[in-house]
Amino acid sequence: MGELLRLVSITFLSSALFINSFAQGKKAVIEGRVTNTDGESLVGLTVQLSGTNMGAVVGADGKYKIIDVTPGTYEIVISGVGFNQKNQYIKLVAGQTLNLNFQLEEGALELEEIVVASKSVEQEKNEQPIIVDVIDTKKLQAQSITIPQVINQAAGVRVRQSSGIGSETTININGLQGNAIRFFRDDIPLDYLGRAFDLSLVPIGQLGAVEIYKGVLPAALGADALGGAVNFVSREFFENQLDVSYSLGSFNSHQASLSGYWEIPNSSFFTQLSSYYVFADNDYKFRTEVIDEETQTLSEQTVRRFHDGVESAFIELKAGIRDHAFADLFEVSYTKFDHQKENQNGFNIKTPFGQVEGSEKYDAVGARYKKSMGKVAFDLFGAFSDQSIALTDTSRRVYDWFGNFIIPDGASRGESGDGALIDLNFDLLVGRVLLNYQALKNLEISLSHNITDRERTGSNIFGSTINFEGERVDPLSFPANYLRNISGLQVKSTFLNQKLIHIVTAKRYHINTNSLSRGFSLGFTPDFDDESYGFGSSVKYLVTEKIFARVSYERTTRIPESGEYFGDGQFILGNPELKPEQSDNLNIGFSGVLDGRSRYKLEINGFYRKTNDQIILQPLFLLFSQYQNQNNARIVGVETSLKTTFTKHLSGIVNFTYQDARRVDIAEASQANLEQSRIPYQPYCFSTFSLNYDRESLFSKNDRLQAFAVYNFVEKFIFDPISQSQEPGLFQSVDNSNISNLEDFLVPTQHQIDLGITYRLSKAPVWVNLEVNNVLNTEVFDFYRIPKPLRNYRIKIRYLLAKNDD
Amino acid sequence: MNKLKLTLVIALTGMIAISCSDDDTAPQAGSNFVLSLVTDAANGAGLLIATDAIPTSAVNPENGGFAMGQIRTTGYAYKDAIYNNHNDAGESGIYKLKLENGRVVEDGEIPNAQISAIKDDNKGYYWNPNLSPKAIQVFNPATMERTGDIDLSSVIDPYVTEETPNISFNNFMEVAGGKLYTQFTLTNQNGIQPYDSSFVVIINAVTDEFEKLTIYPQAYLFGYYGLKNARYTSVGDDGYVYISTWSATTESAVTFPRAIILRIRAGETNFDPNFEIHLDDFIGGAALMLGGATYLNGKLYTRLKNEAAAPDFSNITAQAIVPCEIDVNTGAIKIIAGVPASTFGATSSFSGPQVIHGKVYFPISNPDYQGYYVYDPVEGGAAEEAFSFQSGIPSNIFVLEDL
Repeated sequence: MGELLRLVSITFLSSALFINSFAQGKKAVIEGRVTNTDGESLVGLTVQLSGTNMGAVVGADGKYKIIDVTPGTYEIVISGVGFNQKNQYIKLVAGQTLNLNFQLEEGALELEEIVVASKSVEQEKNEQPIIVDVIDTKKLQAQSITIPQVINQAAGVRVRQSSGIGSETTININGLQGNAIRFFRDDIPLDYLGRAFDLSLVPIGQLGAVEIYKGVLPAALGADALGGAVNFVSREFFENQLDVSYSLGSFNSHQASLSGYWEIPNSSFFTQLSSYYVFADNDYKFRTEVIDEETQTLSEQTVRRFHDGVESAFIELKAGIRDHAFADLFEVSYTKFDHQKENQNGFNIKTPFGQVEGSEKYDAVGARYKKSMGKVAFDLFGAFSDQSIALTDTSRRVYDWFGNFIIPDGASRGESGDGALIDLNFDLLVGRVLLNYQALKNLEISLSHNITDRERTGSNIFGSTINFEGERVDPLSFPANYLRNISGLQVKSTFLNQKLIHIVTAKRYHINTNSLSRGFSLGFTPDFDDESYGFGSSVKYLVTEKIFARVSYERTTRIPESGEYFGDGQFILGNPELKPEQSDNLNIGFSGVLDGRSRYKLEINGFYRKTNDQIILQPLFLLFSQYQNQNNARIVGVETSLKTTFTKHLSGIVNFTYQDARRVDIAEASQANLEQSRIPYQPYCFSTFSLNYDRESLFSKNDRLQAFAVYNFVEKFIFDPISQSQEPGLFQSVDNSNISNLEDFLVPTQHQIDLGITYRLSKAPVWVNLEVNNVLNTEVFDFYRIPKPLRNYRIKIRYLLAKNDD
Repeated sequence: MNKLKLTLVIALTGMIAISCSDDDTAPQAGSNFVLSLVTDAANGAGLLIATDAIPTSAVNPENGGFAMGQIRTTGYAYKDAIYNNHNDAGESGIYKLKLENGRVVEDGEIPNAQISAIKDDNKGYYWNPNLSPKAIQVFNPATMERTGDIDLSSVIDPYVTEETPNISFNNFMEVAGGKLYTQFTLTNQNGIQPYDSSFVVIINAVTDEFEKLTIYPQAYLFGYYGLKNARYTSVGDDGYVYISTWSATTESAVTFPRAIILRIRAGETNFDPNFEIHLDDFIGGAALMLGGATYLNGKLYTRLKNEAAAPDFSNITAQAIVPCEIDVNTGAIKIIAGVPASTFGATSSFSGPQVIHGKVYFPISNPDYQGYYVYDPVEGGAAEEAFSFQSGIPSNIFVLEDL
């Protein structure tokens, strides 16, 4: 760990000095950022020095840069279709780097009349060869809508959530979920930030965008994702501002968010604050079978969750310099997170828990350095996180759903099974180096290297012990080391006057890990070392200015988690033979507007996944189990999205997804009935329909009204595997199956409607929001049919002090 | 096969079997059958398939049935109903199932029960640690309601120490000769049983009063965590309770195979001091018994690994599980011919042999075959294939009376 820390530090400093030395020169540089009036970065506009052939096109991050400018006075002109042109005179001196940001207003053209408009960063990314859904959350900052609600409006994606705020979540992307999906924040693997950016926890105000990669990952995202990734993009600030919001909701839920940005006047120095606080009881009502105390018979009753609360606090402070000769960005950060969560139930919902709870805490420090110099751009990141995770399940109490409890004489510790008092400590170091080189006008090369070094120590005084070298050892007290290196190379080239864009990626995955593992009766200390390679290719072809097609393929690898290698030291045995999972991912997509006035935009993506050596927990005798490479899976699906602009203020989106995920290539004759069986426990057909209304100056000048209505549909799905011939057909009754109690194995078809309205006052930078979720009060479920909240409400107030208060 | 050696200490006195016309679960006529099989090895999910006769051809699970979230371990049949140890969602409890128009239907549930046994139509017993780790609960199998409990605190407390605070009855439970036989284990906070002794509790099933605690010193676990279909314990057609253990533990709590078969005579409260079969001697090393012993007409039937198990279980998955017959009078042990060896692993049956209509059915599991072979003890000779599964892993054949 120490050596690695030094290596990263040296890399940081030497790179910074190297780049800085090249940054000095006699000519001048003009650079900056171009945004619309909402503060969103714009892409594809032209920045020109009038009367010269010097200029630049605004890039995917909304930034431009003109280098090698001879000192003198110029008129700089920013223009783009759909926006009013902006002109400004500037004077440059030798060696100067002039930072110049522009904010453009939309042009006088009506939306319907715009032929080719300049694009936002999100739109530009959405149209890259690598298929990614970029959800711009900046416009949603005033809403109390949750991240899962937002993501679920995207095609091909489904966030699974077991209960209320802070509950267990997973995300399904094109039929793959769980460990197949990796999470990032600003392109860096999220490991060092723990649960702070958990889908069910992080308030929307903390994010600028959510990027959902489906299949191929760019080299910049250095991870072993098998089936996609989610990248949380932090809010970016370019001017002083203070953003405060507070949300109050049903089930005693409170969310507060405080963000701020301050630049020291006439300098490049800035400080930045991001923070949130979340508290919720999650004590919603639902129907379940309740056990009669005397007869022990079951009867269905309405009960209220009583031990499902969550309390989380997150704060991140940054300080640094921006747009300076030394660095485009250099910042250091300190992050602190404190999370407490009560656990109400396990898989068996008949018996609730009353005292099981977990916690997570960490302190993290990090640094980022970004510098571009002509054709070369560096992005260096490093962070160290000191994390501690605890689980307490030591109670001897037995609860019922009314919150009553008994303490049986002689009861063992542990409501969820064997007692646990787990205390884990992680020292985690992450680092990333990203280098972009614009080799030619139509050729860009990117190199990346990601390193994750994690060391775990801990204890569970109530856990099973392993007989290791003649002594009983708590397996968690034995240090576990996990070192992962992932290198990536990406080449992006354009042809046919930028009509054809081609991206090739190649990656190397390396893992080295060791810990105490358990065999049937004795412990052993294996050292796993594995190396794998992956590659991908993505092509986008612009058929017309408004229609494009794209195809991408990737062969990728998922390195097993340390728990899959080593087991849990108790009843999950280690497996020295475990291999990484591999997947071949193919995407074919079409996107285009359907009419001359760009009212209707259709996007269709087909996808194919073939995953080999899926790692499945298999039973070994009755007491033990072990992660083994067992399944192959094939997923074929289609997702469509139709975006409609009814009027300038009213728009709608319809998404539909069908993903046929099935087990294939089953070698064991005893499992032959499951050949081609549907992968259980995940939705395979779902759809959303949303309407959005957005109007400024409705009642008075500068006020703004936003409203939305979202309808969610999820077709019934099984949560245990059955033969293909026994599956309930799509939209068909379960009576057609020859499984007589099939209904007990289904999460039923679900319909949910959410409504929200947000109003910005005209004379104060204050937003007020009201949302009603599950308006129809329908029963909704997830996982093993765990009930989710019925109708519930949220109200939110946001105060934004900024020059531009959108 | 290794040299056959046997150390069998059997008292000939008292070895005259108590005459029983039929075995308890195998009526000669008017029976219905429910096959249980595991269709997904990863989570133990499977099917219950009702049939009015034991199949004679391959069973195809795709023809349907009643789905179970966990059926690798099963309960038992009593008269016209199944009392399974999990409900269809796979949650622990007594889950009563009946046949209705040839289809399996649910007929009641007692949640969280971890092991059970039935005395008669109106009385059964189970253990539920959520109610009391130190008590046996009494229930009515007809109504599936709890009717009372038997507090065993005074029996258990003398053995509970700070080092062994955890109590479990989830081992075996049998009713025979008007008595309930069950075992409690004591473990430390890490789940380790620190000493190698077993505590068998005997309760008068008429009065529901404690009768005796008998301790066996060479094994800590009889049965296997409530697993009825492994048949590590059973009541024979002689009315005796046959009890076996598959493993033992050292002082440092390392588990190793140790296959021993014991018995308690009908209505008695002590282990038969003259009956103790050590299969280690037959195997010539650590014997691994995978199911049984099941008694029929003076013979015990078991599934046994035909080679010594390595101390670290490293050879455990080999295809080497074979059916055996043990003569309780002479101590002779023979491997039943004509049966393919079984494997041990995720796609293997964990079930023991069972007696149906005077014949012994052995579950067979290996990469090429899943099904049952049947052995006729009267004719002797080789076993024959009874039926196979086109897919799936055998877990049990429930025999229901057609009342």
